[in-house]
Amino acid sequence: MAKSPLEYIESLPREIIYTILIICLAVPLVKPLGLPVPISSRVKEWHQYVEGLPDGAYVLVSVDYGVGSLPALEPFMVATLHDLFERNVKVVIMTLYSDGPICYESLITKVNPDAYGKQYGVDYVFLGYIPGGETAMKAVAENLHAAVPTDYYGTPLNQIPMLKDISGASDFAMIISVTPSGDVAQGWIRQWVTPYGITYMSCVLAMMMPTMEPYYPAQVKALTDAGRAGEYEYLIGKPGSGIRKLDAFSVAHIMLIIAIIIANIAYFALKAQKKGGA
Amino acid sequence: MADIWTECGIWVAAILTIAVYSFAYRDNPLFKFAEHTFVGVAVGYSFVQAIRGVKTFGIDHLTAGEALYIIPIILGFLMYFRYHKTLYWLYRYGISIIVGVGIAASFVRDIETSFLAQIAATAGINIIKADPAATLGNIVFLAAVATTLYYFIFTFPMLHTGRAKTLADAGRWFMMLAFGYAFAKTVVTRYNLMLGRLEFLLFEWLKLPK
Repeated sequence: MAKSPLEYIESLPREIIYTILIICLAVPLVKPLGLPVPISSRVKEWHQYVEGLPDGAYVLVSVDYGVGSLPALEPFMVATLHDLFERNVKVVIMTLYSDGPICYESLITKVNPDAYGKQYGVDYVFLGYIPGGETAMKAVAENLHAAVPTDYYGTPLNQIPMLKDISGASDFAMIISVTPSGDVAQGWIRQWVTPYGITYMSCVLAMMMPTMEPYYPAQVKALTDAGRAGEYEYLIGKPGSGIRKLDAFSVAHIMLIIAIIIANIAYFALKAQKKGGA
Repeated sequence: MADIWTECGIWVAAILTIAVYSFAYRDNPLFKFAEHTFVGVAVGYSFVQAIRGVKTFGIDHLTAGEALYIIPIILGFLMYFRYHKTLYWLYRYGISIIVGVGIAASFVRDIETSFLAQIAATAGINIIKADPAATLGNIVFLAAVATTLYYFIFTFPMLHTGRAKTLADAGRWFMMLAFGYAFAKTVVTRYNLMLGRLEFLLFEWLKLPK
């Protein structure tokens, strides 16, 4: 027996839904609609903390993601590094993910520290992948030189000018972690915020926000999700990948809301029909 | 020459991306091939990083005269006894040290991080703010905390009957809202991941103008 239109809508093949979704996501990417970009208080707060760093302050930036979550997290990380390199601060970069070095290479190519006159070893350094998860965070906090003997390229830390006088967490003004993992984001609180009181800023995947919200703002001073990269790019005047995605987000959300409404109408109409027929 | 290799890499990445997303239609051999390739490459890369880690964080210290580093190296080596038929029990020493250190490192601070600091932060909220929306937000927040905690008091059944049940129901509604928020954020994350790949396909592979 042929399906009625309502039955067809209620059990719409997923291929059709996915095709519509891909169109909704792809078209605004190629042809941006130019929708307004309201900047949320979370992003403003993030920028204010970076802006408030004193000259010469040391910031630990942990690229705590791998290639699997790179498409979602990298735009925010790029914007953060742009914001940091605009200032006279020292940036120490590390990763707790074994494929983090790939992400670092991609990141630093996009940010291009040379354009800001930043020099490797003087203004920024990459320590590479530090295995051990939370124990690595603890080891770096207690004694950086003992925990990490060389940077990613094999240069002993005591030969890197900007790290000569750095011993551990108490020398850092701020820690920034961009990660898809709740355990990593919470680990920094346990190992750096609770014992040393370091200002901690965390950017997580949107789906991790409910996990991290309880720690904000008492323990995580600035907390945002990576989907807000476009707002950050707009705020600091560095348009990139994030801002291109904003229109696509809006169109896809509208499509999803319409789909939910149509499916619900179909569901209730069918229910009423069956009740009437019975 | 380098450009040709970059272009080859882009083509391989694009084909594998499409192969992975073909799962949205249904499971197929192309998806399986891409999945296994990804796992294989990830394992290979992680293996090299692990070797590098053993050298940097172990062997280098040992050769520099720090003899105590022999202990973690031996413990690490013991873990491979997992594959030995009779001496397999030796791997437990390595595992137990790793688990013990990990738990000790996180647990000691977790009481303060996940309980005491949050209780203090919640109790210390100034409800009245200059912004009426913030004041309302604080009231809703405190109501959500109180009613959700109330919902989980199972020791006294009478707290879940009659009029008192309203409080537990309110807690359940707040939890449902939180789960809805979490689900919505999951959708946003999936969009974000997919947009990253679409961006690659459209601008790096098909080279459409940005």
